[in-house]
Formats: sequence, structure tokens, C-alpha cells
Amino acid sequence: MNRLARAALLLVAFSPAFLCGILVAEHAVEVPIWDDLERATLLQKRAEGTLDWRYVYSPHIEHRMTVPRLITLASAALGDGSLVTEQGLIFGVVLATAILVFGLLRQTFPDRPLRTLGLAFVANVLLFSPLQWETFLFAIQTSFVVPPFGLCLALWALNARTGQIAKFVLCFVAALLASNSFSHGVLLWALVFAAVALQHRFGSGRARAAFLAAWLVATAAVLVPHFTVDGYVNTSEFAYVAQGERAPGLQLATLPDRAPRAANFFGAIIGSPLARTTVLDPRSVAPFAAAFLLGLFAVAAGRALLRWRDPALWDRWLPWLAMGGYAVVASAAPSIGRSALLKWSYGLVPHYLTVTVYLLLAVVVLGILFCEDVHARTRSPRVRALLSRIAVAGLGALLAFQTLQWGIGWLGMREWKSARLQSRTAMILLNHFSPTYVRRVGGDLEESLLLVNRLHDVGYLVPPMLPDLRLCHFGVDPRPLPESEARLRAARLSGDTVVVEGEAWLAEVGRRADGVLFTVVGADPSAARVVVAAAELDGMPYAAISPADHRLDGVRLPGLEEWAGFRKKLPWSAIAAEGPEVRHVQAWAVDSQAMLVRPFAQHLGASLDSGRPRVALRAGPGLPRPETTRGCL
Amino acid sequence: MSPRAVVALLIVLAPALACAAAVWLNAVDVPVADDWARAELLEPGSVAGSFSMDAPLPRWVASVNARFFSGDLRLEMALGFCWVLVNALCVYALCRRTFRDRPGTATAVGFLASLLLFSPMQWEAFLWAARAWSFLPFAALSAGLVVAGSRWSRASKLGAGGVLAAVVAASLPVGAASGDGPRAGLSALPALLGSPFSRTHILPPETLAPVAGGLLLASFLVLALLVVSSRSRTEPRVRALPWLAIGGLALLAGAALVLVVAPPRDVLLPRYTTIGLQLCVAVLPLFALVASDLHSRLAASEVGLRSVLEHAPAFGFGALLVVIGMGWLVGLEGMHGWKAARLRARTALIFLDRFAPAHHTHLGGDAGLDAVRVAAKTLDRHAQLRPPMADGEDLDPFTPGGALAPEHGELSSRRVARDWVEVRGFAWLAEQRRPADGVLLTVRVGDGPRRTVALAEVRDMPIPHLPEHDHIYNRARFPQIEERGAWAARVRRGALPQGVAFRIEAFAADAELLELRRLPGDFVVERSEDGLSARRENGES
Repeated sequence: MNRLARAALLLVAFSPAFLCGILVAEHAVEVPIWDDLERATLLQKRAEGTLDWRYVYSPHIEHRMTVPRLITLASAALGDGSLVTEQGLIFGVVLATAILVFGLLRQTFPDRPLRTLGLAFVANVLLFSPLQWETFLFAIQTSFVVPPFGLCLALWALNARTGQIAKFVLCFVAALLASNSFSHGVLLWALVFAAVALQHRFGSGRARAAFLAAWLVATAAVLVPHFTVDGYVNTSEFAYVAQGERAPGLQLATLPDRAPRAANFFGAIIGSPLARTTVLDPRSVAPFAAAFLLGLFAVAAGRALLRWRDPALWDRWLPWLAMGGYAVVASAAPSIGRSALLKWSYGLVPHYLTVTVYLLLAVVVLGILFCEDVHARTRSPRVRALLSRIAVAGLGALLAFQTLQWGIGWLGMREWKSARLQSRTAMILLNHFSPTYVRRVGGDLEESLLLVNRLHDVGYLVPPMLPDLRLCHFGVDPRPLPESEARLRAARLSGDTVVVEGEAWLAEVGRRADGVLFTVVGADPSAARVVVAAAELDGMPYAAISPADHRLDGVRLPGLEEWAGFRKKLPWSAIAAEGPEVRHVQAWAVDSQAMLVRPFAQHLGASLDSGRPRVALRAGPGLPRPETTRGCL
Repeated sequence: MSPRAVVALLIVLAPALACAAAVWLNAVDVPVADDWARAELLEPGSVAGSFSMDAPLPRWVASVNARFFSGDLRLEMALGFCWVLVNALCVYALCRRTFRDRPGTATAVGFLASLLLFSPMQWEAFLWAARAWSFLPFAALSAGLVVAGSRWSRASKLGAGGVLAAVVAASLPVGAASGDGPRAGLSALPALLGSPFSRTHILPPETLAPVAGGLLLASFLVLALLVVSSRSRTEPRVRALPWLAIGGLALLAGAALVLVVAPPRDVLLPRYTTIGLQLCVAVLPLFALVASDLHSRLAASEVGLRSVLEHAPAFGFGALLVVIGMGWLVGLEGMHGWKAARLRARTALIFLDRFAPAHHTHLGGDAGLDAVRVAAKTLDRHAQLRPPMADGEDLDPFTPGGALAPEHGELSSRRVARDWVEVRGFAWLAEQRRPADGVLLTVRVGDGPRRTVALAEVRDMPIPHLPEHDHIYNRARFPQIEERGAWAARVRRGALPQGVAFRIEAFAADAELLELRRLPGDFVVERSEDGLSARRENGES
């Protein structure tokens, strides 16, 4: 194969990275949620000059997240501390991991460049699958991508043609980074030890013994403080355990009671990469998918053990067995821990895919190695042909399945972005209105208020929280949204509130509105518009449903009401209608990415008729047309 | 037959068994849309012009069915299934002939073809008696091709061909022009051909279908060109001939459909997926033939290209297996939805004389409710509607079953005004994985008999089965059974009994088992001079 062809094939092999990069760039937004909010304390300490190594090293639940914290600090010191920068870094770490996987493939198939490039393509399809949107678009997940990077770095180093010292240094750096990013990174210390002990061609017996002895010392030096400093109890404010408490995952005494749930949790995590279709419930599919993957891995591991005495063969299999084994153990750990707190189906959340995808990748490569081995040892041409066909058909099936997974991932990224922009609207108004769906922001309101304000105070909440409720903090686009996109569907009185229902879709940006704001035009129409209430949208994840499939079914097809609906109780006191003269309540759809609002075409009229409140939806103008503005004077 | 041939045949027929089970479980004897045209056969002039059954053969079969089998529509659906079975067997026979020196390839291609032909993606064709005939032309063609390649005498072949052609001609409907012109029609052809492959992804079928269909069409044309232009050898051309004919017929049928029968907006209807599937059946062996032909012609030094050609069919097999498998899952879901709609229609039909449904596309398609009512009464008069239409105010033909658990249904809200009572709730038949087939409201004075006063429709909402756990940080909305099985009804004062107090109860109908499941939340209404009011019970108002 000439250089040009190889370069072209290399580009094709890494094309999934390119596609994923575009998707990440399109969907990354500067909105901190949940564990992202933990940075508020870190940045506050930095701003106050009270930051010390002890805090940076302190456990977040059971994770020592030193590396992610250093990344945040570096981003704040060298740049603007943007979350999008960290999301870019996550992509960069995955890209670096993919390059290491390519290196590993070259080590495994040294004389087969086409096979290496083909498998690199498959690996990249898996590693860059947008199904991991909770990893790519959630800044705190720098913690989640560093351990797999460390894994691949260590495995590559152990098989590289470098000296023992270089191998030791690279493995040490990999394990140090991994174990100080997330708790499953700790596994690397054991894994490197095992890999060196089991590798046939590591070097002389003395070199191996020296490496292992030094590795044990290094492991002790790193892990003893890891498990003892601060009593290994949670120090974070934003965590599901209180400060000073031990993570429930470490309370192993309760494990026998919840063993079935832990096993199901494990099945959900392991089966997750193959569990999503548009028809079947992934909770039903995941256990079978897990059994399938684990079964294949076990067969490969069994075959490898049988061939242990063949040094060349065993050393080619070992990195992939280690990778798969790492993914299995790293999936078992949260199953044991999180099953103390959560339903087993939580194992299906997309961020766990970042670990289990390595099991799938290992199974693919081990499958090829398995076929290669049987191929070499069998004399029957029919068996040989059949094996190679099965392997190729399996790859075809995997890639066809991945096109669906990429579609679901793309949809997930859209929904994530939409939800985050709704979180942004809620966050900048957090001091004025309690959000309806506080769990889009954080665990509970009190915690979210504290940390969002803290982040705002140190200047890392972009855009900042609104100081007051004047609408002019948003840019005003005066063009009313057509009723086909934004509509007030119903309004009725309920006690001392007016319940308003409707829907809002921003066709120009292709997503539901990032919130709906309500202003009241009072006696003085020229007065500044003030927001009296904010509604959050509650939409179904958008997935196409063909009307043609239901032409004769008489069913109700999901519409805008389902994709982009909202329901808000407006307090009558906020409308402040005191007599028969009508007060106009204007609704505005928010685009919080552009920090723009656009009015609905309809509005709500409210008045008091003989002391009884009356409300009615009104179409058309009736209100003074707003002017285009950008910012408050 | 050798044991190996038997195993191969069993593999090829496995999809037929799976499809037969799916059809058996989901076929219901409830007429919809053009099925009502059989009323015209029983009483000419009764529904003239409202529904169409133009072709002679379907009319004749429907007449025979009405006369000897009480018009059970499931028999005609079974006949449709038989056409597919004949088609699949003939296609497999053609595969064996095409790949006579490669039995493994014949089995693999036959299996994929069988998966395509029996794909439940064609749920409308499998489960709608009026559409079961759409399978016939393809079955007749493949049977004709088998006969043409057989060792029969020329006269026998001609005779058999003539019979098949006559049967096909007698089963073809006389369509009306779509009115959108040839350009619009032909531009919809790729979407029609790609329709069966467009629902296996999360992207909209409207976007995917033209792309998938375009690729399929281009593949067929390129492969046909490669085969025809293969000057050096006649063998591939001869072997490819039946597949070119099958693909050609699919294209012809597609073109006829988009030009004459269906307006472009209708090409994605599931009843037309048969055409795209049939074209794909033709492409599979052509691809295997061309790959093998090119492989044999390449110089031994072209290792890379030879390797690609060697592995391409296996790669395609794996990929296609996943795509078709997904199609099966979607199709099975489609069958389930179709059955649920028919059972809702059955409930509505039973009470059609008393309660006019607000939505009736699941009864008569585009035809009006009056036409459906006339047709239903006609069939009912001839004992061809099962169960018969209700003629009283009691609960017949339903029988009382157990109460529905509160988490699966309830009468959750009631508004009693001076002149009417409005009730709402939801009803879900959990074991059957569908909403109730309707909710019957009854009134009862004291311990007297129950009297039906309203039939509330339950419309269901098709939703994608996306994992909720993927969106826990998003607080996304996933319609639950309360929303999918929602119902509402308003009963006017005049329909209510004259007694001083009466109880209003709601029953979820299961139109398959003809069983009623009582919903919790019944209440007592009192009638006074001031109008109606709900009685307080157990401290609640």
C-alpha cells in the first residue's frame, strides 16, 4: 500500500473523530450543572487566596479529583475558566486515547496495515460515539476520560520498544493521572502490575523483578495517602453524601442484602452499549446484551489462557484482555457502590458508556485475534472461510448498529443542549424565581442557590445572574413568533393563580424555547417591562414519528404540545389587575444562547369584573409593539 | 432431499414461521376502510362510491368468503400470507439455481430474502384483508420464473405463464390518477423504494427514505449494468436474469404506484413497503454475482481488491441483517399498534348506532362516518360483523371481568354541572400493552341493571421508546400510561335516568376478549330541581 493510500485510509479511520468534533462544537454550551457546580468552591478559594493542596487533593465522595481540579484552575489562570474549554479538552483526551488505541492496534497487527486501519475505524466509531454525550458535553467528565487514557497509555507503553525506565515512567504517569481523576483509575496500579507479571517478552527476569518491586513501592506511595488522607471521607459540598461521611459504596457490610440489585446494576452498565433501539425497552435488552458481551469476553479469555504458552500470541492478546478486564472491574465498582443509593436501571445512564465501550472494543479485537488463531490452527478450508466470514459479518453488523447509536447520540446531544439552555434561563433568574425543575440545575434548590451564587460571585457564571427583573437584560427581537411555533393554548383561574398552558418552539435555531417569560403591561405602557414569572418547558425528546404509519389508527400523534409544552401558575398578585380595565400579560420565548427574547403573537387579558377575576386569551396585537433592544441602559 | 438441504430450507423458512406467529397474534376480524366495500357485494348500491374493491379476483374471493366462511377477514389475510410464502419458496428455488455451485451463498441469500419478504414492516398488507392482494403479483412472477427455468415442456410453460398472468391481471385494482403529475410522481419513487429501510433509525423517515431508496435504486441499476455489460461471459447474465426481472417488476410496480395510484405524500404508507423490499430481494443475489464475477476476473496480484471483494458480501450480510432485524422490531410494533387500533374500532362499531365517535379514521379511513355506518349495518344484517352491533342499552356483548388496578386506570375527575356530567380518567390494559379499547360509562339506579350512556374514546399516542435514563439531567417528558390511555366523556342530562340518585361507573373495554374491567372512582349523582350534583361519599366531595 503506497503512502498516499495509507494516508487516505488513516483519514477515513479517524473520520468518526472529525464528525464527533463537529457535533461537540455544535452542542457544547457554557452552563454548569450538578457536579460542575463544585468548581464554585474551588474558584472561590482561589479568588480568596485560601486554596491549598489539601483541598485540591481532598475526596469528592470517594474520588480524588485532583487532575480535573487542576484543569479547572489552569483554565481559570490561563484563560477564562470556560466550561466549553474543558469540554474541548475532554474531546482532546478522547482523541489522544484514540491515537493510543491505534498504536496498540499497530502493535497487535504489525504486518497487517489494512486490518489495523479497519479496526482503528471501528474503534473510533465506538470511542467517539455521540451516545456518550454526558461525557463529551459535561465539563466535570474530564475526570471520567482520563482513566481510560491512562489505561491505553500504560498498555501502549508496556508493548512499546522502549527501555524499562521509560516504560516505568509512562506507566507511573498514567496511573497517577488516572487514580487522581476518578476512583476507577486506581485499578491501573493493579493492572500494570499484572500486565508486567504476565507479559512474556517484558525483558530479563531481573528487569521484570526490578520493575515490579519499584512498582509496588510506587503503588504504596500513591495509594496509602489516597485511602488515608482526610480519613477518605467526602469533603465536597455538592455530593449525595454529607461532608465528613463515607461514600455508601464503601459500606460493604450492606452488600449481601443488595446483591441482586448490584448484579442488575452491573448488567445495565455492561449491556448499555448494545441496549438502545427505538423499539425495545433498554432495561429489557441490557441484561441480554451484558450476557452476550461478557460471554464473548470469557470465551476469548479462555482461549487466551489455553494458548498462554505461546509467547508471541499471548503478548498480542494481553493488552486487550487487560482493557476488557479493566472495563469489567470498573463497571463492577459503581454497581457495588451506586446500588446502595439508586435503582439498578441507573446503570444505563450514558456517561457509564465511556467505560464499557472499552469492553466492546476489546471484544471486537479479541474476536479478530480469536478468528486469526483458529484460522492458523485449522486445516479445513471451509472452517477458515466460515470464520473469516463470521468475523467480517460481525463487523458489518456492529457498524450498521452503530449508525443507529450515533443517531440516538446526536438526538441526545440536542436534548442535552436544549436542557442546559433551559437550565441557564433558570440559573440567571435563580435569585428571583424558584425553578420548577430544579434537578436540571442541581440536586436541590438550597444547594443550587448557594453554589450558583458562589460561581456568580467569583465571576465564572456566564452570563451572570440577573440583578433585577427588567426584560431589557435580554435582547428583544420584536417580531412575534407565529402561532404555529409559539402559542398560549389555555388560561384558567385556579384559586389565586392563573394557570397558563402553551408551547414554544424556536424554529430558527431548531429547538424548543429555553424558557418563557411573562411581563405585564400596566397603566403606563412606556414603563420598562418587568418579568413577573418564568416558565420552564417540559418536552418529549424529539424523535421522528411518521404520520404515515398511523393513518388508519386514529391515534393522537405527538405535536408541539408534547415536544415543547409548558404550564405555569401566574400569581394573581403579579398581574395586579385591580379593576375592569384589562391588564395585558405578554409571553416571551427565550433563546438563552443568544440571550434574546421574542414575543408570542397572543397575549393574556386579565381584569376584575365586579370583584371577580377574569382572564382571556387574546390574539393579534393589542399591545404596543416592542422595540429592538440589546441590554439595559 | 439431503439433510443439509432440509436444514437450509428450515433456515430459509424460519422468518416465515416468525411472521406467521406475528400475523396469527395480531390479525383481528375488524373491517377498515376499503374492507367495507364487501357490503356492496352483499347489498349492491349500499355503499357505492365510498369504498373500492375493483379487481375481479378479490371481489370473487370476498364473495366466497362471505358465503361459506361468514366473511371472516382473517381468512383473506391468511391468503395474503400464502402468497408471500409461495414467493419466498420460489425465490429460494431461484437462489439455489443461481448459486447452484455455492449452496452456502444460496442459503444466506435465501435467508435474507425471506427476512425481507416476511418483514412485518408490511403490517398493513399482512393485517388488512383488502391489501393482502398486493403480494400476489410478486409471487406470480417468481413462480413464473421458476417455471420458466424448469424442465417442463414449452407448452406447459406457456400455459402456466398464461394462468399466472391472468390471475395477476384479475387481482390488479383499477387506480385513479394521483393528479400530481409524472414529475412529482417519479420524484417520489426513491422515497417509496426506501420506505422499508427508513424506520430503522431515529432520523425522520421522510428524510431517510429518499436516501435509502436512491441508494437501492442506484445499486440495482449499477449491478444490472455490470451484469449486462459483462461481455466476456454469458454465465453471470443468465444467472442474473430472474433477478433483473424481479427488480424490474418492483421498479415497474413502484413507478405505476407513484404515477397512477398514490400521491407523493402517501408513498411512505406501510402498505407500499412491499415494493422496496422486493427490489432489495433482487439486489442481493445480483451483488453476490457481481462480486464473485469481479473477483474471478481480478489478477492474483490485486490482493487488496480481491480481499475487499471476497469479504464485501459477508460484511453486507452482517450489516443488512441488523437493518432488517431493526425493521422487524419496528414492524412488530406496527402490527401491535394496528391491532390495538382495530380493537378500538371494534368497540366503536359495536355501539356505532348509539354513540358517534369523534374520530373515525380508524374505522373508514378517508370515508365519512355515515358511509361506515351504512356498511357496518349491512354486514351486521348479514351476520358478517363480529360481534354484532349492540341493539340495547345494556353491556352486551361484553361480559364483566375483574376491576382494573388503580395504577392502570381510574375515573379520576368529574365535573357535575346543572345539565351535564363530565368525567375523565385513563385506562390501560397492562397485560396487553395497550390502552383500553374504549371506556363505557354506565348509570345504575340502586341495584337495578346498568345502562350504557356514553362510550369514551381512548386514542393512544405513539411514542419512540427512548431510554428515560438518557435524559435524567434533562427532566425530559415521557408520556406515561395516564396520558396515553386518557379518556373523557360528557353526558347530557337527557341521557341520564329520571331517578333521584344514580351511580355513574366506568368500564375499560377489552374488545379482544369482550371483557369489561371496572375502573375505580365511580360516584353517585343526585338529581334535584336545581339540576345535577355529585353526592358526597366518605367525606369527599
